[in-house]
Amino acid sequence: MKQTKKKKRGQWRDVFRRLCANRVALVSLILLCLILLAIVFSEQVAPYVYNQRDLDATFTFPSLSHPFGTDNLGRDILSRVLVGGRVSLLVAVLSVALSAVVGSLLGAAAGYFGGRCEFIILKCTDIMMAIPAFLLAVTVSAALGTGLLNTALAVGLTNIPRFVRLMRAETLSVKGNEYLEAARACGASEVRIILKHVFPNALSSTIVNVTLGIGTAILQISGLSFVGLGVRPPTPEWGSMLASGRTYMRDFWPMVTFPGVAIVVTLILFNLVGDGLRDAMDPKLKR
Amino acid sequence: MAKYIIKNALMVIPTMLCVVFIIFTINYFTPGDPVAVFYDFDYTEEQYAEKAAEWGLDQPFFQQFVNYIKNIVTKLDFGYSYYSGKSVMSELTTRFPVSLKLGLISVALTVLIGVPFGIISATRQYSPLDYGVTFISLFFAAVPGFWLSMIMILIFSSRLGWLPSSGLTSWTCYIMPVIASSAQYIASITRQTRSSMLEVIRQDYIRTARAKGVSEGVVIRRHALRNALIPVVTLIGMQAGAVIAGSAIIEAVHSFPGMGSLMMTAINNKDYNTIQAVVLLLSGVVCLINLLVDIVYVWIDPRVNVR
Repeated sequence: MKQTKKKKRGQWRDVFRRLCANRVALVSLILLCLILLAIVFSEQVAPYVYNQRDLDATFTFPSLSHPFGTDNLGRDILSRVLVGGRVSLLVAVLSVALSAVVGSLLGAAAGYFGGRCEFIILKCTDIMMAIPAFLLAVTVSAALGTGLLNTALAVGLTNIPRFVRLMRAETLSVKGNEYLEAARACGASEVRIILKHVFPNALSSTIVNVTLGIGTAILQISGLSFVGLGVRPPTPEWGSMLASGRTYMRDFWPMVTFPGVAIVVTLILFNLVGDGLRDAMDPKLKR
Repeated sequence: MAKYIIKNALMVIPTMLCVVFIIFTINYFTPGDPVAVFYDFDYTEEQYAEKAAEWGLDQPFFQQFVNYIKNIVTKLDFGYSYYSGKSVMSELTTRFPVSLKLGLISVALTVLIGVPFGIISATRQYSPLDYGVTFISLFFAAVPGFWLSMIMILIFSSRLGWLPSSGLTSWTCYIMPVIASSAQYIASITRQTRSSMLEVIRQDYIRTARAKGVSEGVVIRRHALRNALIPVVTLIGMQAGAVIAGSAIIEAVHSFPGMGSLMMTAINNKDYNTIQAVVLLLSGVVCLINLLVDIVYVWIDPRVNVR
């Protein structure tokens, strides 16, 4: 038991070492961590209280006291972008957690048991994938109503298929191996085999998929909030901030610019870290 | 070949039926009473019963579903708008072609720009051009289409006055919406093409082809590209839906008279029947594009046919 633990740690250390050797990935990981810290502790970091109105200072352009300017109600845009990031990110993480857990379980079941179980699960994912993800999210979100949890649920549901497919492929790739046979011969239950012997093999590709999935989820959530579903004002969220800025866009650019820049920067970093992780975890793919 | 195409085409029918069922069920259980909303909660019993009967809402769930399908198949009728009380189809007939055109141009642009740039980038790996393409595609892969729309309006309409910001009066009105709805996907197709080209170029059969003296152009076109395109075509099929769905928000930003702006208005009015019709029509288009992708598969990868 001790031996296996040691080996496992060694494997992760290898991954970390390869990640550190990739300068782009390392820098983006550090930047992403900084941004995440700023977002998590946004109420402490933000220069102003995010919902504090100042009707004498509405629509001010970026200056030293308000680096991103103030919005139509005189609220500091920088503080709102930071706090809004917390909402976007929280919903994104929740939704990806939902799709990863449900999707992986279904995918593993499909790959492991095969037969009718696999057929049904795959057909269901095929049908879900026939509906454009964003439109499905719109429909579900319209049915569930707005709010953090409902949005996470709507976005999470629509992203289940990608995890099902990934986990099924990974399960099929280890299915014929002898160690599964050995585990079964030892009397391990099906559930135990899936959890202890199948999942760990798919862990690295799932981590990559989760990293990239959070980026996609942030995009979908901001899209939902932008059309008036998802998270509604006054809760700051990047998409809903863009939607409220749209009204004043012709005369006042900061309201539609900075939340968008925040989305783009966060997404670029998530994509770079995801790519870096993929290269680090699968040295065979190394270019 | 014909058998394969027919089989795939027939598969579209059960898939679409299931899609209609899912969307219809979600809508059915969406809270809110459409008749009450239509009368703004001010109605007599008789008015209510009459409207419910007209919209078929007095029937049990399954009957409603069967009627819905029957009306779509026989009369192309998507029911009534819960907001205006008019037939949904009367709105859609003018809007559908506009959205379809926008969606198809965007998908075409995605393929026509994404694939060649991916190839160029891969064949000249580590050249300044490769770095440029990689950097630009990394950036655009992270830009939400609706935000790009707004920024383009700010720059090209408000500041420079080059392009019309909204409406559909001439072909120039298509430029910004098409760019906005395809930019992100051009970027990801470029990235996918580049990485799968790089993988293929390293294979032994490419070395063999070069060793036997085949010209570089033929190696790339005949030996590398065909193999590299398989994952790219899969991605194109998956993203066609995203391009078309994403253009819905972009249409709204540009006040483009398509289905997307109709959907945005419907969301604000809680007009679920209209939302449902838009989602179904767009899903239908995506299903047909996926069918096309399946056919393209056979053409680039003859092994598919054997299976």
